[in-house]
Amino acid sequence: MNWLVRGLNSSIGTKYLMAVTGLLLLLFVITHMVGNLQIYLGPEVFNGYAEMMQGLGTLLWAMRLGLLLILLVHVRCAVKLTAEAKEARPVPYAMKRSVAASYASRTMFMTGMIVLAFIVFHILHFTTGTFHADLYAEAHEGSHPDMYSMFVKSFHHAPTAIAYMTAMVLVGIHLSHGVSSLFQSMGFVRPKYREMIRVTGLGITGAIVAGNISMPLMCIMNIVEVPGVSS
Amino acid sequence: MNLVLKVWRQRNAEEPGQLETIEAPSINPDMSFLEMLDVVNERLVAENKEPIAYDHDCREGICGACSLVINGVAHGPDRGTTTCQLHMRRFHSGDEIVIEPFRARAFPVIRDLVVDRSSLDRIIQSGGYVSVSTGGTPDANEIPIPKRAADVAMDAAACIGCGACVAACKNASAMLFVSAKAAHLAHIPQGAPERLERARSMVARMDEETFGACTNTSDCEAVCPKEISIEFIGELNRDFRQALLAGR
Amino acid sequence: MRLESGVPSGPLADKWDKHRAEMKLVNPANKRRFRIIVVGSGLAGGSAAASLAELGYDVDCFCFQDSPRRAHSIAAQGGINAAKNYQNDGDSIWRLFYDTIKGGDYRSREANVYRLAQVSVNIIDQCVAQGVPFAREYGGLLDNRSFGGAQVSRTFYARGQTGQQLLLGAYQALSRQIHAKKVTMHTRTEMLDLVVSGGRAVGIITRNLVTGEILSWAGDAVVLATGGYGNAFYLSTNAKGCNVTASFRAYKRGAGFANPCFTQIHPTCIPVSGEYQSKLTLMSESLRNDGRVWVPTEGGDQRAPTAIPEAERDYYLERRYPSFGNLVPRDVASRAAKRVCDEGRGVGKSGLGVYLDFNDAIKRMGKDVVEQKYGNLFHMYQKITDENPYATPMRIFPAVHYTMGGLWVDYNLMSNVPGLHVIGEANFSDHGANRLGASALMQGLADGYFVLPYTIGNYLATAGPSPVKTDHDDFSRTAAEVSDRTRRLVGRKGHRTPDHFHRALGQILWDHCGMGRNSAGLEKALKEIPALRQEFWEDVCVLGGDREYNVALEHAGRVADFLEFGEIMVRDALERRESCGGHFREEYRTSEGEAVRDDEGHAHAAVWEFQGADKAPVRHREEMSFEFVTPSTRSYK
Repeated sequence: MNWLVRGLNSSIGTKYLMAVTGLLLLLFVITHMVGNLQIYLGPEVFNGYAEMMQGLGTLLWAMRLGLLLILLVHVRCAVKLTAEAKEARPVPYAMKRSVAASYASRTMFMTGMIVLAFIVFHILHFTTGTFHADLYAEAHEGSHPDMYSMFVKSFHHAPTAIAYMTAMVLVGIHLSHGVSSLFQSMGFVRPKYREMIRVTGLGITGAIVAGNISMPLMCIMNIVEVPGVSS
Repeated sequence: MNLVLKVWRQRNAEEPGQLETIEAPSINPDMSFLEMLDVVNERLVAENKEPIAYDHDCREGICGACSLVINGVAHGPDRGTTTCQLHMRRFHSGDEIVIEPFRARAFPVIRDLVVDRSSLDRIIQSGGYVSVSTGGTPDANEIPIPKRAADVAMDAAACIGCGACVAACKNASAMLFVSAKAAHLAHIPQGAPERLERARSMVARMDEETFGACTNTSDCEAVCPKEISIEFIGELNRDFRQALLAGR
Repeated sequence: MRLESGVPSGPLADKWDKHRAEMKLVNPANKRRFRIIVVGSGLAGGSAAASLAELGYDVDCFCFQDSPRRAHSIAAQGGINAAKNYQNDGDSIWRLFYDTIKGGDYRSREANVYRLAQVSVNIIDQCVAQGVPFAREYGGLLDNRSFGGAQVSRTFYARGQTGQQLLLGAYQALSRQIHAKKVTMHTRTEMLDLVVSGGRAVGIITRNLVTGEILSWAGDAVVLATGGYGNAFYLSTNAKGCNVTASFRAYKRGAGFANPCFTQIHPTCIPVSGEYQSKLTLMSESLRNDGRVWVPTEGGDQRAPTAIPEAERDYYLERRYPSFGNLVPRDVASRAAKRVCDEGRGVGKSGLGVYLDFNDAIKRMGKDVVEQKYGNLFHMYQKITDENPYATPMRIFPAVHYTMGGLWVDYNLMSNVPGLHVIGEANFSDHGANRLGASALMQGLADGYFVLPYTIGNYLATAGPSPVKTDHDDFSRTAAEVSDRTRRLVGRKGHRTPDHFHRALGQILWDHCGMGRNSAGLEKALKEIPALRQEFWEDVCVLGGDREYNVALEHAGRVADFLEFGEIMVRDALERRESCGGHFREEYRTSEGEAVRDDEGHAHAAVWEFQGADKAPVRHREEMSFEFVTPSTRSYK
């Protein structure tokens, strides 16, 4: 097993782990978004979906733990790569220009850290109910939790909606480099696919940003509303 | 044309360095960048000041010795060009030009703009070759090599080992250099038997030499005087993965 | 001075085989007891160091560059010759031999040249096995191109970077041996003297260019692979670091220097653009395959080249040499260019240039094909001159490129100092008075891969290990002389940089010992050079210390040697009263301006022996006898 640890700890191994965990996180983000987009199908569907997820019980926890583990590996690799890069150039340039590197590619660590903070915030919001505790309590009053109302009401709160939308822009920046980069890191490249991978990466990123931003946006614009409650 | 240079001066590896401002009046735009520095040096000596040290040799863009970061870009503003092939007509009178050495922990400064790039040699020594001794080789035409394969190998083999990829990379990664050598040999049948072992050993040595990791920003490709593609990095990633998983 | 070539007897084709069979061998277990010093890491030095280490010898290899991969062999563009006859166009070992000896104007040793042609085929096999990406046909087999001085296609190439790819092959083989700890590589280290003890070369003295440390190295044999002395002219196609110091120091320790006046002026270089110019850039000779060389028929024609009609253009190479046309050998092409420029028909601002026109090639093959074949060269030309060669003809002019002269060696590539071997451009043996294109790479690799590894074994088996180590008096004395000389240079607060004197020397040599030479000019140079040398020692400025990285000190040492060596070049040119190859004495020419050789009086290598400072060196001869070919007047008409 020593060979595996050593191999994964090498520069390319670390990047490989980064790519694999990044890919899994990407798949989660897509699934998560698809689930949430059911908000447009009305309270019954959405609450049904929420209840189904809750009903998974142990499986849900297994998934949560798995996700946490994947996220920790991803973050750990990021910290390692960033620290190594810093060490690799102890004397910085007085003047440094990037010729081709995108803004996203140069700021992966920063955008990643902000997104990480957002994830914590997001869990405090919808999972533990620490943030918007009143809405969380209200949603859990009945025999069936009304996550739909909590969702919509939270985003009627403009600062929350803006925070979410900003976070999604950062996720977008992160993914605009991350998605195509993970193919390169995993070594799935052929010259003729290079452009295709780049365009696909941007397409997926665009879809995720658009889908996720649409929800708080629709709420704040009162296009999605809680039935019977006018704001 | 009249220029103002801000040049990194550092006496040796131990002492710290700093940027020094040097005036460079009446420069002919047909001069190469290094000829401009020659002229500046002649003038410095005339004033009893020590000349600026910089690496150079062939001055025709192939030996890979010249290594300056000019206004924040390795080898300066022209694409696909080494410092020695950069000409002053690319600049304007009145310009301020910042000249720094290739910076990386793996490239310690020897003096002024001269750095020690022997780390790149040590990577090649770790496995960047075909293990064949002189004599006893088969006829050169015994193994036909598809033209395409030979052409791709040549694209990679064009690397001059200057280290601009390292200098430009925000992580000071040497992946473009390493992958170019690996790809050169991996694409032709003579180099294929050692493809995986070569990837493994060269990457291990690269890591030992304290280069940073590649994060696919592609700045290396943009400054490479031979315009070597980062696709080769993808190939090395693939070979390394296969070596890791297929290894005994 | 004893100059015994040691050429084996017997038929030409059997000499090398016979010699190999007769040479003594070193037992495999004993090889590691021998230490060989190789100075230089280009095609010759790199391939020799690697091959010797593979055989089991311990090797110390030295180069002044920061990496062995940067030796100037890397800049060779066009290709490497080999008598493979893959094109089925009638090539053979004999024909390559004949072309080379004829191209060298019958001033080289038959047996050496024949051996070169023989091993040329092994070189290609070796390089392919190392992974050199030679150009290939669509069927996967190797492609060839034709080159000046030959009527067959025997030149193997890797785009316009053949030298680079061959050097990387040798460098990789060398790296493998460094990894195996059979070669110890010493980079940024310059050889400053040869140590001779008891009449045998036993080591060298070096200066570490980073720390300034002067060190002694003992070996059982010393191999110099230190390249040519073209930089004596200051402006040349050589890299800035190329120098004569190692060879010249060996000469001062007793090694004979052969034919120093034989320098090659390459016809296709980018013309000089200003006095700040630091070097000249070669455009591969392969351009002459498709480009046509011309000047206006009338002098002083100021029109743009594209505005000059066909009838008013003189395609002088095609006119004068109809059978070889634009592909005449380098010396012939260079002289023809000089002649039209002397007639006032030169082009460009300076009048020192001729056109190399691809208009017809673009019409015939299409721009795409031309771009595919020569794109990188066109790109380079445009970078340097700011002119687009697809639209307007290139301007070219001859420039110093290669030196056929070098330290004298016998058939075993050993100089007259036992133990001192000299390979590649640094020796004199294979190219006579003129080298054909794509033959330098061939010779460097032939010497390093396939000749020296055999012959050095014979020397070591015969002479045994060197009894002298670095604590011997001969080492300490030589090292003290080196330190002394370095101290004499360092800290000189004159008014001129070493570069100033280097330029001045280059101008003298170019004017009087360049493309055309005559006794009056050479006599003049013989007066000017010592005067310049004196001025150098009085007025040179070398700031900084000797125990640190000091570029000015490095350069000053090399210029000091060029200033002494240049005089020997001129002496040699003066004494060679004939025109042959790159040596064109204006007194010896036909009414048409073609060279007139003197086979009666000058069919020899002139070998110069050092007699001590301020004493004229003595000229010896090694007669070149031609048993197998009959020297004829070279005609490319």
